[in-house]
Amino acid sequence: MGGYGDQDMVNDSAQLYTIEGISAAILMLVTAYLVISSSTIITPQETHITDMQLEQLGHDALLVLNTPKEYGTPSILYQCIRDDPPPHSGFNAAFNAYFTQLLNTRIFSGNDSLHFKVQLYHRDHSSGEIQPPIDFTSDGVGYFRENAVKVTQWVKMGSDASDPDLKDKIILVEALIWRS
Amino acid sequence: MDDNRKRSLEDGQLSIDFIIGFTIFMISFIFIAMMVSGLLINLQSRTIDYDAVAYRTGVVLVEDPGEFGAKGEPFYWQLLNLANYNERNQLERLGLAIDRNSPGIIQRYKIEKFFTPVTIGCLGMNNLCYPSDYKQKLIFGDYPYNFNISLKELNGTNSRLWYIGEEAPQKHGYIRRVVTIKNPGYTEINLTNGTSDSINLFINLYELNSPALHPAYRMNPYEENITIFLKNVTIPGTQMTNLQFYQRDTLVDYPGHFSAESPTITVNGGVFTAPMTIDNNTKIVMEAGYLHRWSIGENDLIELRMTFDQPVSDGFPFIIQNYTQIPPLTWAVMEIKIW
Repeated sequence: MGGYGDQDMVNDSAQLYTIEGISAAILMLVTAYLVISSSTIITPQETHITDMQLEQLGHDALLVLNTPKEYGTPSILYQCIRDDPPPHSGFNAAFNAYFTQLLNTRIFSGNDSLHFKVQLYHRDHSSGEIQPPIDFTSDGVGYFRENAVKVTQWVKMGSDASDPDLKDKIILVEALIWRS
Repeated sequence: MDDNRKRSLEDGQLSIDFIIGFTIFMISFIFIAMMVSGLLINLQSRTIDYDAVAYRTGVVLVEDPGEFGAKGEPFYWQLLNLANYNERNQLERLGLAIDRNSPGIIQRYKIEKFFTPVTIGCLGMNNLCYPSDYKQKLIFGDYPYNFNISLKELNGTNSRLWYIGEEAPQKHGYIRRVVTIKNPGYTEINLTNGTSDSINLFINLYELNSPALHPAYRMNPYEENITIFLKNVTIPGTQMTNLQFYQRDTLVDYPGHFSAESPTITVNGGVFTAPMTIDNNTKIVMEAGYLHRWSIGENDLIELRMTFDQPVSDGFPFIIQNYTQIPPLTWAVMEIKIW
């Protein structure tokens, strides 16, 4: 058990080479710090914000169209559906003009680029079955799987609807809205 | 004993390596501990917060009628005389909707009041303070948000534009709302060469407030101007000799008693002094807030008695809703930016 035996066991293994160790540690820390602090992390919530803005605006626009401008007169939404003759062509110029204006008008910075496609749903009186949707109108821009939202309004049609299938029906107006 | 002593000298010693390693660890630990808060701030995206505040501000403005005084009070905060310290203190929340059940339908007088603030020295002025009132009564929150709110009517060439706030930086929270604006009605009375020299115009607030009619299409003398046009004046030089305001059968206001300050009753833009010559352009305005000023109940019967020096009517009382037009609702776009 002499002191020399211990000295023999000292060698290079498991030694920290100080300079390399310190520089490696600093490199790792700086890299980690830069990565975390510089990246903008897009959380799922953030995409929901744009969806929410789109949904709110679409809902507002449909609601405005579904509000009569004067007492005793039908709303513009009602008029557009009433005057759309069967078979529905899938293009209602009057509705498109109003809806585009409401959706896309910005106050200071030019117009927005929102597009839409509107379908009508109703139930058959006798069977109670939901009928296949009527393609009411779209603004002619194809939908290519953009992030879209759906907004709806109910409209109670009277007996003056030009489509006999829609007379006295309660109609669900469903608009698909997207930005492109 | 020698061996043991030698060993105890070496055992339990801190090696240089350990000290270096421990020091690096501690320095990094302190470094990271100090940075964690900063790192978390970067993880939290500010725009989410701004967008959320913009959304909330939009909801309050467009779907809420505002609030003042005790809970459950009516919503006509725009009628408060903000020059009065006590009335200003009652103001709780700004909102533009006509009532709680009509989201998206906003009222023109609330718009006017909202978009005409005073920037400096607003104490003693009947205006909102910019920006303190807006931050405290609309945007809320401890963080001092900046804002820019604009509203544009979509009414062809008559489109009005209102805005408030500074120019927004590139990065801001945003929401756009589409709303309808309710406009005040106007009354036209055609004079006739009948037997009576007076026009008694009855305004039955109880009938006007009938729930059978949606508030968006109602005449609302309490919160809106009553504008009366006299038409078909066939005898030139006809003079109005008296103008009196009654609450039921009680005389409330009369010439010499009319206040020169709004809200009051004006004829052709000024306070009435008898006699006043009338023609087909004569306009009598009972300003919004006038009834509030005289503490008239919301369901009261009020009456305007006009007397002339010539025959003007058949003597039958005039019921105001029979002569009143409510202009159509107009559309508008509201943009809110928060940063």
